[in-house]
Amino acid sequence: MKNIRLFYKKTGNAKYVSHLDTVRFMSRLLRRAGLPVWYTEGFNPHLYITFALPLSLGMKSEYEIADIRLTDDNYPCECICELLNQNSTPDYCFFSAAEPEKKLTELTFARFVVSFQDEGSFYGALESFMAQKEILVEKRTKKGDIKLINAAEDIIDYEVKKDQNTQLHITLPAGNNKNVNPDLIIKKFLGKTECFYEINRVLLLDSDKKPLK
Amino acid sequence: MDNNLFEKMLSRVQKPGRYCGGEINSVIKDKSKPLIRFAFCFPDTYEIGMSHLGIKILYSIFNEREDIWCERVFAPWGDMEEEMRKANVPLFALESHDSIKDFDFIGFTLQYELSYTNILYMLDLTGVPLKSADRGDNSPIVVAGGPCTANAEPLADFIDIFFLGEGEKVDLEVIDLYKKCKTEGKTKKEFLCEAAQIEGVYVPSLYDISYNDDGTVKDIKALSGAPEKIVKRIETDMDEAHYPEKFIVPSVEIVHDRAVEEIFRGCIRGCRFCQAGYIYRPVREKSPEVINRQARSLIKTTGYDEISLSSLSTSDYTRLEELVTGMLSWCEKERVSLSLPSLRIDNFSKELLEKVSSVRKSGLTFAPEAGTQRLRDVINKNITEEEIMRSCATAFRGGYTAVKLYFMMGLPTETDEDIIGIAELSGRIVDLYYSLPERQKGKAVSVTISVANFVPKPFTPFEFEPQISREEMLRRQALLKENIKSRKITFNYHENRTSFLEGVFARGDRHLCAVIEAAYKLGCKFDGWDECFSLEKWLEAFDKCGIDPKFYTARHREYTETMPWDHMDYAVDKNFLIRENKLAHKETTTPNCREKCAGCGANRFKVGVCYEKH
Ligand code: SF4
Repeated sequence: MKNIRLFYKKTGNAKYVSHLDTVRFMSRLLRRAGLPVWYTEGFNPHLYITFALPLSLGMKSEYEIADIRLTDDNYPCECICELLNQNSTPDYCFFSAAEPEKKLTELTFARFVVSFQDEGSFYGALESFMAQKEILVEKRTKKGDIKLINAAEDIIDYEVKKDQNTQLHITLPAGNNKNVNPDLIIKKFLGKTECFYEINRVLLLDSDKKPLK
Repeated sequence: MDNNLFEKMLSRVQKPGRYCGGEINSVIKDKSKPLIRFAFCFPDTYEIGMSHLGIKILYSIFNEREDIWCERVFAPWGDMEEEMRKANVPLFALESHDSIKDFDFIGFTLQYELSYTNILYMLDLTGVPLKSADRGDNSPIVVAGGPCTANAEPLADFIDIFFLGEGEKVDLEVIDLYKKCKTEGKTKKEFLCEAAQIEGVYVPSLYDISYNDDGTVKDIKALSGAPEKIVKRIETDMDEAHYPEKFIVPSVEIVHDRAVEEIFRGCIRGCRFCQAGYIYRPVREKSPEVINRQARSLIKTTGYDEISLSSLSTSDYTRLEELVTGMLSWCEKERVSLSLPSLRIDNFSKELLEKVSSVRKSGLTFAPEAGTQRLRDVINKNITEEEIMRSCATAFRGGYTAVKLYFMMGLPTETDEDIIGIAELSGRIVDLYYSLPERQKGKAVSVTISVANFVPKPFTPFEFEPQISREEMLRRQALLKENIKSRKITFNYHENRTSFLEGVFARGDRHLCAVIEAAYKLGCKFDGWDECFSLEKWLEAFDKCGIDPKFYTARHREYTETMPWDHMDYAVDKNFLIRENKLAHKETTTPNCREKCAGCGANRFKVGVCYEKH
């Protein structure tokens, strides 16, 4: 048995596919591709697949990770991406398949790029907003009640950029221990202002801030 | 549509995945080529429409043709409607995101009466006139098919062409004629007149209906050379009939999210309340070899890990044991679970039963439909209490503890005794459980009874019968509730204000077109959804149009009455229906097609069960 880590982009319409539906999509994709995937044992066996971190509905991503196991130790990794892409839609595009270097639990940070459709008008305001020492946002705890947290303390790094539109590049804690959704910060920034924006999760990082592999 | 705008709309609605398209196995074609554009509309949500087998078959047939591009359209939920209206975005097709206003055809599938307002809703969102007469030569041709075409009169004003029976061939014949008429520069009217000559095509505008003073139909006159009777179409050889090699695999979860393999059409049973049992006659089976081949292809192309066999009554498939054994041999290897819905377990081997997942998962279900043998004889439901008890005993001994029973209420000749009979039968099943020493120790039995309201349908022996009123229905429900003594029995019922409306439309006439339009204008849509249905608005619509809905439901119809659907020919003779109705009142059953032909008339197709050797 061999562990394989799949790296893929989830873009286009797939951003409207929930995590649960993504799990279903991937299982069916693996079956269509005919990979010798490993099934769990026991009373209700199912295809083994585990994801680094669910992606919120509406976000796209350029660096998604899912781990599977192959029953054939000699199965060549090089063929996997092509095989999967042939059986996938362009919205889920695989760019690497390799044996994992680190555990999924070493996921510590995630980097996002938020693009506003503002024609650049937010640039100044966003810069001063981000420079604040305190950005209080409402966060839902695991128990379901709402807590006020200071998101400014959680921001690992950020940069406000502008081409035609304003963009926020931001790195936040991610994973099981601590996870901050950039949407909380954006919502706080926008307040009642209506503006369409898109969040792209561009990287998942380990504790050394290196791409998780 | 502008992609930016599209994304903005999606970012504001719930379940945006419904409106995206781009799923595995959906079909994209090159628009720069000349194509007949066909919008296949399902007048309900994505999750419901995508679960429907008919749309998958026709989608595949159309798109296999190089000159046709068939795309899917579902009814947008209210939040999306709001966004679309705000942004001035007309109804669009999932594949191309193009507005369907400029398509050649808009096709609806009519699965249930409660979707009628959604047809108007979808036409309205498209931006075409609702009425056929108001749509000119440049508007799309609006067609419809599906079981409700058995009596589509309440939609006669809105639809240009109805297809009767099975659509596989007739749809393409009409499209070919359309292409020909287009190159010849013919008008819509000329095209419709020619289309009416194709077997299975009903052009409602070519029929003139006159009425008696009491509101019943006086006469139905065919105009412009249209046929007096429109005969339904059927596939004569199921092994040769087109079946999709691929299903679209939805990206968001739908109601029936699995592969489906059709094993036969029609039903031998002839339960007198069941329209499907009559309008799909005669029974035609696919061979196990073909089923296996098609099923494997579906599993391969979809990646589904579940396949379900589809028919009106799985147990009546003649080579079931052979089929299931064959399927299990590859399903197990490929980790596919096989479900056999509506299975009778009496004559099925126990080992096989255990391997079949549907039974494993959902426990035992029976549909006695009526509480007493007398009433079961009236409705020709050939299941005896002894059979139910025997099957339950086997199952209880095998470790089962839950039984589901399905009944109907409001059946012709039904008395309080029959209602109480439902409670008593359920009670006896509970007693049976506790009388068995081999039952699962320490576990309680649970008997769930679900009761649906009976709605008389055209082309059944009960098309002459009155439907009971809502008040009477409530009284009978209360009576049943009172008579359930054991706490092991759960009684599920729906207040079911919708069955009244269903009854009106099932046997309605063209006067109801105005009511549907009025109801839609009052805001009725998604009537099949509890949270959307408003009986008050419907009653207001009837009132506005000066129509008493009870005329359609509460009345007993004479055998001699001209029915609004009398120009439809579903190959079951009216005399046969009358004969069956009389037998019902004599509490006499009719053997099924395999025991003895009842002479319904469907043998004129010269295929299927009527010509099997028994
Ligand atoms: S003609 Fe006879 S065998 Fe054929 S469908 Fe009718 S009743 Fe059944």
